[in-house]
Amino acid sequence: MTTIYDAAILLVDDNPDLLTLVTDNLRTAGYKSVCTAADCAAARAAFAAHRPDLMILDINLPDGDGFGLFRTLRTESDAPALFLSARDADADRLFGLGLGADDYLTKPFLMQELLLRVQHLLQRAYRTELRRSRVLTLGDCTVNLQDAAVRRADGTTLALTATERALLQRLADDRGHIVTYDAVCEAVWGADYYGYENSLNVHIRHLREKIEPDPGHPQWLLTVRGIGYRLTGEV
Amino acid sequence: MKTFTRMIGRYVLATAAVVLLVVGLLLGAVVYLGLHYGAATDSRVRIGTLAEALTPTADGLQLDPARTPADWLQGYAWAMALDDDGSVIWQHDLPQNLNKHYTASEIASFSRWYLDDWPVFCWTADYGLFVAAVPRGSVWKYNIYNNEQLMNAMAAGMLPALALLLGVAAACCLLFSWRGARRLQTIAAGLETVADGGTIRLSTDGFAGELADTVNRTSEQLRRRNEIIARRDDARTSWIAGVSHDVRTPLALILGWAEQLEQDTALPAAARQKACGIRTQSEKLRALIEDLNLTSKLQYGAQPLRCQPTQAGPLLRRLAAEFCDSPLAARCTVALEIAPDADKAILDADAALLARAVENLLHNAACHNPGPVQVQLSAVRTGKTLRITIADDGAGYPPAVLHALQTGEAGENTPHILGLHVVEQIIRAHGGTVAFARNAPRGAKAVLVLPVTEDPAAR
Repeated sequence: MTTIYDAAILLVDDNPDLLTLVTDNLRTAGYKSVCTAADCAAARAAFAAHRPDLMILDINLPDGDGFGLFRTLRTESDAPALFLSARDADADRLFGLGLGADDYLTKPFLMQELLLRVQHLLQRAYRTELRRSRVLTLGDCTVNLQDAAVRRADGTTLALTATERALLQRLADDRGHIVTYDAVCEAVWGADYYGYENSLNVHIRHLREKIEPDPGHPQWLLTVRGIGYRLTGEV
Repeated sequence: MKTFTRMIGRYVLATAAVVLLVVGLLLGAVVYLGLHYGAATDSRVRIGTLAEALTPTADGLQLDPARTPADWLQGYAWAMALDDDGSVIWQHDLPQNLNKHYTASEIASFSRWYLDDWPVFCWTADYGLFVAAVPRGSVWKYNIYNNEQLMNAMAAGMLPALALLLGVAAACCLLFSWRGARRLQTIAAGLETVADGGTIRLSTDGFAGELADTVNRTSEQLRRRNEIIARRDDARTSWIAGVSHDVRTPLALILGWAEQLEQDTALPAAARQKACGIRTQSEKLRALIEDLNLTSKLQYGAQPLRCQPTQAGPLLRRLAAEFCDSPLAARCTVALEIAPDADKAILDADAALLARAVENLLHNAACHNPGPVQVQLSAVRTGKTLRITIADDGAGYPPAVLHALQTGEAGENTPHILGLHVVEQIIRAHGGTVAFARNAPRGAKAVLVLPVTEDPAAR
């Protein structure tokens, strides 16, 4: 898998309209391989045939429930799973997550939200695999996160420090979205990051000097005042 | 427990007070009776004085002439003097039948009791025996004698016996009051259980049996009512949950199709705009279902709080970031300001619910203002509370909404404010308060005040 869009997705729901709707949206979003099933038996068959990288499972199914189906499939694969259900009780949500599912989304849902969750699940689950060929394009400048090397438009190559690479990696994982100071610090220094907040500004400044054409007026690594940073999306 | 100690103390003190009062009254009565009936006795000359006032003269025995015989014998019916042979040698107003010679046995008899029903008093003098009688029926006369050792023992043991009696009385009083208090204590404990929502079945034996029976009946009544209320609440919550469950899948399809149509560039702009309207309204319905479910669960206690220590700063930054990333923020500018001490404040909170409260307020700022709006999210720490303010410079709350929020009284035409009620319920469930007001110079402002559980310096 070179990008998350290469991932095979198994979608299980007893409502054919919903299957069509979600499949259409996943394909429109760029996911090339989406297989569907309307019940547990069909889901097990599809799973065996396609070995999906991500499972989106309904809970109320005609020949069983999604929890049982998930248990069966989980014994064969560690692929991330998301429950998509009309059951909104905390007990269901906790039970599903307790079984080992990675996410739980209740109907009705915003399609954009489902797509974002799918994107994050795939990025998190296959981070190592994806990072092998991860090259960030920031205008005329490219960053190879594997090598921690910045290749600038003028042909020069600058090396990133370990902290700068971890920082850029975290921002790149949520490219286009705000990443809070806390999330950045945690990614760089771990959960016990207290006391490092002040040095974050220094690392950000150094990173900008390497990736921005004009570090005084950044166009890629933006500060969202009081909240965090955003690595703007590719143009 | 203190109540019963106080009760026993008061009971004992009251008993002592009653005893003292009774003793006082008795003494008072004795004194009164003594004064009242002793007046007649006091007016009489004492028998010894009288006997000594009778002296031998040349004319025989005569009373001291300093007073008239009538004065001397005032209060007496008659008097006589007997010589050693028992013959009357002087008399005053002596009844005729008594003017006689008295034998030794007669003298011995009347000196102890009565002489012909006359109460008489005797006094020995040089001339013989002086006898004076008071009117019949005026004096009760009885000769009392007893064992001397017994009398001495009684005199010596009177004070200790009194003290012992008082001690026994106090001990009995203490015992009975303690037993009574213990019984009442059981009833009080039962009442506390009932007050806490529990059910009790007290024994109806003993002096407080009637009271225990009443408490039992009250408990049973409350249990039945609570059962009815719980069944009704369960039914209501289940109904809302059931309806919302059945609505969810169709609404997901409407929402998804509307999104698809809205993004379909092959469709005319007017059709896409209508699709946008369908999506917007569907999103409102979706939010309404979520709020309705949550408010029903919070109201009827079906939503347990899963509180954990939560640092305020990261939570608020995450919520602000999520809001800024959402399509709703397209028309908003969000400014976040968290004071350093507020940033590290720890809340004992259900982060998901608290997030829901803040999200509802941020969404309101975005959804209920047509034009661009500046949203200010700030947090300051005041003592042991955290004040989170969400303010905007939009149209502000309509007067009817503000009135309903501030007074809790919704008018007939008050717009729907379920989302804000959810905010109120969530914050109250966390032991905090929420105030809605107009922002200056314009816009809406909500202030959430939440208790801080840990000193930030401890981190």
